[in-house]
Amino acid sequence: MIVTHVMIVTHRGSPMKDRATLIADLAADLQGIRLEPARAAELAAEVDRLNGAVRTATGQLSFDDDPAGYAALLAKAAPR
Amino acid sequence: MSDDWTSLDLTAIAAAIAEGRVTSVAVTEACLARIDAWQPRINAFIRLDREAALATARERDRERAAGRLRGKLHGVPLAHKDMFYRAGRISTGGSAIRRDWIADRTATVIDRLDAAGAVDLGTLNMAEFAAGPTGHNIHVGDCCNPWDPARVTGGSSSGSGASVAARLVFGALGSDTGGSIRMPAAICGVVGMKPTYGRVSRFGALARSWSLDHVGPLTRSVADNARVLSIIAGADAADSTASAQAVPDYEAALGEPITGLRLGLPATLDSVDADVLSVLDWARADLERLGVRIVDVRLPDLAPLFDTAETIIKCEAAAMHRPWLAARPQDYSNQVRWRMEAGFLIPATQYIDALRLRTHHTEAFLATTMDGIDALLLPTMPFATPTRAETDVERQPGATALAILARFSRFTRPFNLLGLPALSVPCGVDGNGLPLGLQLVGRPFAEATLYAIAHAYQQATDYHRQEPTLQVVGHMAFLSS
Repeated sequence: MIVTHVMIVTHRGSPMKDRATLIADLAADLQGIRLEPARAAELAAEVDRLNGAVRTATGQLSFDDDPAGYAALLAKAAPR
Repeated sequence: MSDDWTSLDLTAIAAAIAEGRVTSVAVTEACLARIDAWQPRINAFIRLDREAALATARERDRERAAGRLRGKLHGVPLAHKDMFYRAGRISTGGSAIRRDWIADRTATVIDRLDAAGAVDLGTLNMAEFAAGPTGHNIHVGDCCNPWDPARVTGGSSSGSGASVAARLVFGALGSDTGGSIRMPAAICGVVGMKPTYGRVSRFGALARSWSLDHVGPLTRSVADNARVLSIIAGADAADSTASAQAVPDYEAALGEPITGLRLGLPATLDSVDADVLSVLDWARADLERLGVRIVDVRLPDLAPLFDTAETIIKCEAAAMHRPWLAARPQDYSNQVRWRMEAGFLIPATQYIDALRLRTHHTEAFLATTMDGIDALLLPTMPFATPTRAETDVERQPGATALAILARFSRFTRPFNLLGLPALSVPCGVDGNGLPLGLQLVGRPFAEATLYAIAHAYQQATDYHRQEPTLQVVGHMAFLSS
């Protein structure tokens, strides 16, 4: 039997300095990009803001929400 | 005297050519002469295809003499932002990376303008890779505002706004991912339409963000704009996001009565300069005199719309630029590179959720702010036009410049996420005598309603008839000609 444990961490309490290090490590390991510490700190703040905004809003989403629904919405709302 | 032809707007010059009152060659020569005079001052063109344009004009004249008119732009000189591909021609995207890149396809919009008989004068200045709201460009030189070269044109369709305002061309295409048609239109004093997402094919147009890019025209008048949109709009087998919705006769819609139409105006607009508010108040009064009913509406908190749009743009831009960012990062300006770096670090799930949220944001906006109104009235820009120096984040980076830049797209970017049509129309001047624009936002695929309101407004006002005068000659040069 395979047991998979997925833990979704909702607490965003780590200090910004640590997140800058995390961002620098992610950039290097996942994307092959080297970041200066100052730039990593700026990006950490930017990513934190954008991720936080989207994550906060995802409460509106349901399982069946499909990105392609957007074009259908525009077409449905067009003048007849 | 041939220069006088450049003072006519697009529909008038098209009629003059079609009726044989002037040749396409004479009009093209008049435009070229005007470009020669203005280019050193505003740097609107990246490349001028002088001989090719004259050859096309001669062909159009021969066709007309033989009784054949290709379409509603027969013999009319245009030029476009240097990001609409024409097979076999260099398309720089305002970048150093594509300085010598030759397009391998022709944009659908260019094909459609060719089929309508347009004469292509060359390519226009733009922000590097369509990323930047001001008109600065370290690779090809800044595009300068024809009303005051010390001030910005707005971007990223900087050359489109400047060249139409200076009467160098009769119309130009731009692209708009966060306001890049509407901002230069407002700042340069011309008309700019960002149509509904999918109304115009993006095939063969350099992408900034596939999900948020919109292609549209910048022109001197609303009537001109309606003509160009009617030619470029419609389904395209080469672009699956181009809508199959029928394209209305936008020119016929110009004459539709607007009495009784309901125009929403937010009771309060935060962080908007007094100059802008007072001009908007005048526009409101003019529109009421025309019979439009002004209705108080409430704008939602725009921050979530900005953040959702930013997430999408950064992720898509990072994906498409990844190979160049890895191989030749030094060939990007800092601000363009900085704008997309976060996209490498946003999880894919957040990007996908941002795309899914788009539907919810649009549904909510239509059900609340747009409920019961035919269009929304807003300023295009929230402030008077700043100088190039105070907004030059590349050469003089600093908190002040970044703070100004952050405000540029306050009233434009949300409608790229929502995909709603939005039209910027000249409506007055700021304290420095530079143009200001009002913005009309409509329901999906309701461009005709926006055109009807704006056309009626232009019949009652003359802000769109104002044009800059040539006074100072600077030292900028063409990349090539």
